[in-house]
Amino acid sequence: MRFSPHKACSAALSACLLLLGCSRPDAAEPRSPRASVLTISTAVDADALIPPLVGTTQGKQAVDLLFDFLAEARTPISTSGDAGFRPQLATRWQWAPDSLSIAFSIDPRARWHDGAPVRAGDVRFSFALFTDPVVASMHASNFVGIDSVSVRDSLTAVVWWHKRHPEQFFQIAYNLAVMPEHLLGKVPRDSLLRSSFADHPIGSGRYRFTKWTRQHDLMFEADTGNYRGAPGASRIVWVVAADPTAASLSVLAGQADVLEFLRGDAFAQARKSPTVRAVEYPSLDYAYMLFNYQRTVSGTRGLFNDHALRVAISQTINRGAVVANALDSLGRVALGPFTRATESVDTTMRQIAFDTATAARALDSLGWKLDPADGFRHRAGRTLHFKLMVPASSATRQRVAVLLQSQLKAAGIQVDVDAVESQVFGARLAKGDFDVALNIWRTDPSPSTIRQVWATAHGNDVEANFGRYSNPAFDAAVDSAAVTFDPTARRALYRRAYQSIVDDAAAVWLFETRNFAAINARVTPVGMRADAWWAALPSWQLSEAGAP
Amino acid sequence: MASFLARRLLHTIAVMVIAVTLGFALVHMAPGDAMTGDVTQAGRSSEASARLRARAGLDQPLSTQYVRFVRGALHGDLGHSLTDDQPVVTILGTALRNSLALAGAGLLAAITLGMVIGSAQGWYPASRSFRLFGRALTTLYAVPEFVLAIALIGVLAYGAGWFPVGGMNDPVTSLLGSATERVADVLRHLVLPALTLALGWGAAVARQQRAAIAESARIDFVRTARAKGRSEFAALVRHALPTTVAPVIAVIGLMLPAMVGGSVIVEVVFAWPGLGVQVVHAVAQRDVPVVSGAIVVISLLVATSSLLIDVVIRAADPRQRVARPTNT
Repeated sequence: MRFSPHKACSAALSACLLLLGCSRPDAAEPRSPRASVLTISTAVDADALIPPLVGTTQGKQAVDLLFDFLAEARTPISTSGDAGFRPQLATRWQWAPDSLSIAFSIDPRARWHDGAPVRAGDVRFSFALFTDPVVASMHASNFVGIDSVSVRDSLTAVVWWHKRHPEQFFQIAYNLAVMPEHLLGKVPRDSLLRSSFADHPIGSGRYRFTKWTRQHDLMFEADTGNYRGAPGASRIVWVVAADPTAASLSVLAGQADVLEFLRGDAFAQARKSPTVRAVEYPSLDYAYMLFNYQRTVSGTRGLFNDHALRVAISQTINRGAVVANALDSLGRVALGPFTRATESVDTTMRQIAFDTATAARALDSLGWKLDPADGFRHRAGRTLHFKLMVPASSATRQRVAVLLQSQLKAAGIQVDVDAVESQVFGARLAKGDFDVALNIWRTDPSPSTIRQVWATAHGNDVEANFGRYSNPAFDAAVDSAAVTFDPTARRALYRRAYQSIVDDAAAVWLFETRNFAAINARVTPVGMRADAWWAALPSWQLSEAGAP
Repeated sequence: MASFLARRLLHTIAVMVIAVTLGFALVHMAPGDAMTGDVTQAGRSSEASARLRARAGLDQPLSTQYVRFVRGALHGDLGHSLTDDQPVVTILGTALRNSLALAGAGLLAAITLGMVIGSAQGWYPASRSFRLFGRALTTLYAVPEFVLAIALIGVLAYGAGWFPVGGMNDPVTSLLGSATERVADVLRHLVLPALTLALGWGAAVARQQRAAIAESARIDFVRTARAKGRSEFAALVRHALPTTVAPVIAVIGLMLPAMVGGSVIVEVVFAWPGLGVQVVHAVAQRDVPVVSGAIVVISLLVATSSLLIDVVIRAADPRQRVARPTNT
C-alpha cells in the first residue's frame, strides 16, 4: 500500500477532532460532586496561615475563616465603642467601670478543630504572640496601648488598657485572631513558620484546614460540628492564577466561582455573561499624586512646601477626565485621603476645582513664566519640571500618569513619567527618593489610622508619610477625634481634619477604585465589607445549577 | 571520550560558577528586600524589619553572605525562604518536578510534531498539505508564547470548554478522586501548556528535520532502497530517518536554555506551579535564597543537559568521533 500524504493529513485531523469531541462536556452528565464547593480565583497565594505572620490579603482571607475573633464586626463597620459588633468567640463582654478593661466570656461550646476546648488562656497567649518582638509581626502596632491580657477563669479573658479611647473594643476584637496555646505554646517564637502548625494550622473557625499546595491551591472544608453552625459551602478552595487574564477567564468559563477584582475587558465580559455577575462592594483604596516635601525640585529645595503651587497643580488637573479615561466605570474621583466607605466621611465636602485659568495666574504670580518657545514655565533659568514615579506593574497607574503628564504639559509643567518595578517603587518611596509619586493606599477601617500616612512625622520613622507632609491643624483635629467619645463630636472633628488636608492640597487626590467581584450566578454573596469582602463567606449560599 | 568528558565537565563547572556568582550579585544589588513589605499598607516597624534581616543574615557583608551560600549549596543546603521559611531545596524540588513534567511533555510533543511534519515536508516537497502544515507551524513559531497561550486558553478552554484554564490539577479531584481520575485530571491540565510549548519548539525541530530529510533523500543508499522497490514509507523510516537523528538532537540541545525561559512564561500564564512561577514570585518578593537557589538549579539543569546532549550527539553520529587530522 502506497503512503499518501493527503490521507495521512486527513487521518491526523480526524483523530484530533475525535479526541477533542470525546472530551466535550455533555449536558446530560451526572450532577457534579463539587456543587457545594466554592472556588476562588486569586492572583496571589497566601503567604502564611499563622495570623501574626500573615502579610497578604489572601493570607488574611484564609486565617479569618480558620480562626475566630472575640467579636464580629457588623456591616458597615463601626470602630467606635462596641455597638458595631456582635458576639463570635465571646458570647458577651463587660466593661470595667473605669473602662480600662473589658472582660470577655468565651463561648463554652467553642472547640479547636482537634477537639480541645477554647480557653481564656488562648486569648492571653494570642495577644502575647502578636506583640512579641521576636515574632516581629507586622500587626503588632495594632495593639499599641493595650497593657496586657489576664485570665480571670478558664472562660474569662480580661483585656487591659493604659488609657481609655473610643476604639478600645475595635482594637482587640477586630485584630486579635485567637490561636491555640496547646499547639503553639512550645514552638520557638523565632521559627513559627518552620513548625508543623504552619503547614497544618488548627483553628476554631467554621472552616478547617484541608490542604495547601503552595503557589497552586489552598483548601478548607466545613467544620460541620462548629459551635457557630455549619457554613454554607462544604469546601472553599483558593486557586492561584498569577496571570490576570487567565484568572478572569477561569471565572468567566465557570471553572471558578469568585474573582475578587474585575479589571478592564474582563469587567465588560462579566457584565455581558449570563453565568457571571459583577457584584460591587465598597472600597478602601484611594490613589493620589504624592509630593515629596523635602526634595529639591526645579532647583528649589522643598519646592512643594509652597501651598499656592500645590493648589495650582491641583487646579490644572481635570480629575474627572483622568478617571473617565483611565478607569471608566471602575473608579470615582477621590475626595481626599479616604474613600466614600470611610466612617465619618462627608461626600459634600469642598474640593479644589479644575480651573486652568486660575492655576495659570497663580503660577505666573509665583514667578513660573510660560516660555512660548518651548511651551514650559521657567523661573530663574529653571524649568518647572519633575519626575512622576509609577510602578510598572500597574497598567492603570501608568495610564493615569500619561494623562497627568499631558494635562500638566498643557499648563506649562514638564513631567517625566518614571515607571519602575514595584519593589523598586516601594523601596524608593520608603527612602523618600522621588519627586512626585503616584501611590495607592488602602485605608484601615479605623479613621484614626489616617495618621500613619498624613500626620507629621517625628524623627526618622515616617511610617507611611513618605513625602513628609506636615499640617499642624490636621494633626490637632485628628488627634482630638481619636480620643473623642461622643460620636457626633468625633465625626465633626474628623470632617474638620479631612477638610483641612483637602484645602491644603497635601496631594492631588486622584481616584478611588470601585471594587467589582466576578461571582458565578449560582453563588449568593452576603455581607461584603469594604475591609474584608470575605468576612461573611461562611454564610454565602450556593445553588447546584451551574456548578463546575 | 574520557578527555572530552573531562573538558566538557570543567566547562560546565566554570559556566555554573559564573552564573551563580553573577546571579547572586544581581539579586542582592536590586533595590528592596523581602522585609520592605507592601507599600500600600502599613507594615512592620523598622525595628522588627531589622530583627528579621539580622535573623536571615541580610545584615552581613555581601562577601560573607556569598561564602555562606556557596558553602551551604555545596552541602545541598540552599537556605530557607524569606517569605514562608520553607527550605529552599524543598520548594525548588517540588517546583522542578512539576517543570520537568511540563517541559518533558512539551518536548516529547515538539519532537513528535516536528519530526513528523519536517520529515513529511522533506520527503514530499511537492505536497501542498504538508507545506501548509509547515507554514502554519512556522507562523506559530513567530507568535510569542504568552500570546499563543492566551489564544489557546481563549479558544480551547474558555470558548470550547474542553480543557481547564490553568493549574496543574483540580484541587477537589486531587483530594477526593481515585488514582485514575487524578492521573487523567493532571493529563487534562497538561495539554494546553504542553501544546503551547510544543507548537513553538516543534517548528524549530520541523525546519531542521525538513532540511535533513531533503538532503538524505538524495543519498545513494536511500535512492538504492527506492530503486530496489522498497515502499516510500520504508525508505523514509528505515533508511533516511536514522541519518537525521544527530542534527535534530543538536537542535534540541540549542533549545534547552530557551525551554527554561519559555517555560517561565507558559507556567505563569497557565498557573503551572513549576520553577518559572516560583522564580517570578521570588523575584517579586525579593526572596533572595529562593532566587539564588533557582539560579543554581537552572544553571545546573542547562549545563548538564548541554553536556548530555553533547555526549549523545557524539554517540549517535560517528563523524563526531573521527580524530581530527593534525598539522604535523
